[in-house]
Amino acid sequence: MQITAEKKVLIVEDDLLMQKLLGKLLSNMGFCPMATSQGHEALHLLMHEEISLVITDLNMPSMSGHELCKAIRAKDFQHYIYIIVITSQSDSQSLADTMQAGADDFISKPLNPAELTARLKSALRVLELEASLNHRNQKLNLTLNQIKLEQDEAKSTLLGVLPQPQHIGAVSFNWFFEASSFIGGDIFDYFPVGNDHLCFYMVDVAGHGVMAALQAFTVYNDLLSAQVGFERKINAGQSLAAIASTFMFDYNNQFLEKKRNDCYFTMFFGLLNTQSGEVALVQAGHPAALYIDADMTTVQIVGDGGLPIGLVENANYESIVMQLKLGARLCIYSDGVTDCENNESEFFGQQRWMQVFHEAYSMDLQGALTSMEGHLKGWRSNQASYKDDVSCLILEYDVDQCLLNKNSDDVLGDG
Amino acid sequence: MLESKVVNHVTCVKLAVDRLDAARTAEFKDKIEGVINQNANHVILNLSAIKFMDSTGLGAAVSVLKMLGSHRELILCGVSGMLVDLFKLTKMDRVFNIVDSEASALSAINAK
Repeated sequence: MQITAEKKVLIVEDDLLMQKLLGKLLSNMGFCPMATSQGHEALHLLMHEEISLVITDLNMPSMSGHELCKAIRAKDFQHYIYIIVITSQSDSQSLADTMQAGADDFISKPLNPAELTARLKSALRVLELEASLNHRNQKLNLTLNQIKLEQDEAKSTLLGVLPQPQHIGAVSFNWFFEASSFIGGDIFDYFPVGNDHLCFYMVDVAGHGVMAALQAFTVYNDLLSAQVGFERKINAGQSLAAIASTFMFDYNNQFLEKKRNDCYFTMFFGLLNTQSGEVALVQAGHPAALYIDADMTTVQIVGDGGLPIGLVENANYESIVMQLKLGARLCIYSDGVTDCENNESEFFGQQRWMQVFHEAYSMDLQGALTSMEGHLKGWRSNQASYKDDVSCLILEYDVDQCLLNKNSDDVLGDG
Repeated sequence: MLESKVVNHVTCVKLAVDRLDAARTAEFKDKIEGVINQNANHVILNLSAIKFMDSTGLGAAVSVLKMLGSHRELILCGVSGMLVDLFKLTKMDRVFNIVDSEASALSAINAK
């Protein structure tokens, strides 16, 4: 057997003759004994040497075996320290107290070598068990860290593909997003389609973890590849409503055909004509959007529900067609917003969300988002992170940008 | 998590937790699969104790529907509070057969 921590034995004994005898016995058994006559010195040695086995006398001046046991158990050693107490027959009560204080075993005086061997063997069994448990824990921790690392990487990959706030034609986009502690499956994007149109969407994949993130990433890529098809259909004169409905119908069926598990997702999808402000929206199980413009005194809820993607074959997805007024804002968000709970487990809810969206209408887009996010964080108060991904995307049909566009068109027209 | 009984050859399963979310759906699916595989009965799923269900929970309800196949019926009852909104939002109120109580679910099945 290799000389490891468990082969080192510390003898704590004020009777020097006994100390020597014990040391000799232990050496003969193949242990490496160290000895001291003081409990304090024993503690000092234990802190500086890797020792897993202590044999201590019960009755010693300055620090008793009982006190030493208590002191060892009070300290947070990296490994387990097995304590054997040497006792005489008259010590039965203090022996019981010492076992309570943390001693593992005892051996009585006068020392019987056969008994000592048996006690030490049982000590080694316990220490070996402890060491293998420790080793297994270390391996588990390593694996856990690896998983956490991969999750964080998945999270930052998703964060990395989220679009920058930007203007597309007359439309400004801005957002806030916070991933839950355990990565969720929210993703959103917006991109131009031809010269006069754009597409935007938000997706929330059911569930959490790397699987949800992978699925969200797949949707992100699918939508990017759909861009060309949208443009072709628009150029062919199809209505935005028809293009949006057909796309969702086909996408749902394709997804169902390919999927191997219970995965599904909710989605809010939009196609917008940046010149006219006409927009076609499809709500697939995603929370309803919120709309406001300068002529309105209240916030309008857009959408009354729809089937998620990936649950029902041949599901129909009706388009909602709206005309955005100049200065109008449309807010799409994941249910992480409305399901955000305060300390009393009360949901933030749609009503409060509509109210903060309304209040923020007087602010510029960035300010509005900061204010809305502030309200939500205030609701969450001292909880460290959201239970679900929280995504909020607002698009503004911008007066200035629209004029700018018209002017540049005029310039082009004059040319 | 589940309390189940058989009434007139119908398996009635009641969820005995107040949340069906990502943290619990794996256990739920596992347990309910065990319950519904014991016989070939129709199933009533009583959700009256559930105060919160997220999209994962909804997905689990859909997988129960799939486990039962086309010959066995699934009726949901006790759908209240935010669950009503969730089923409406996702239009799953049209996919599931939802009635108000276990008694009406039983008479709906027995009427067939």
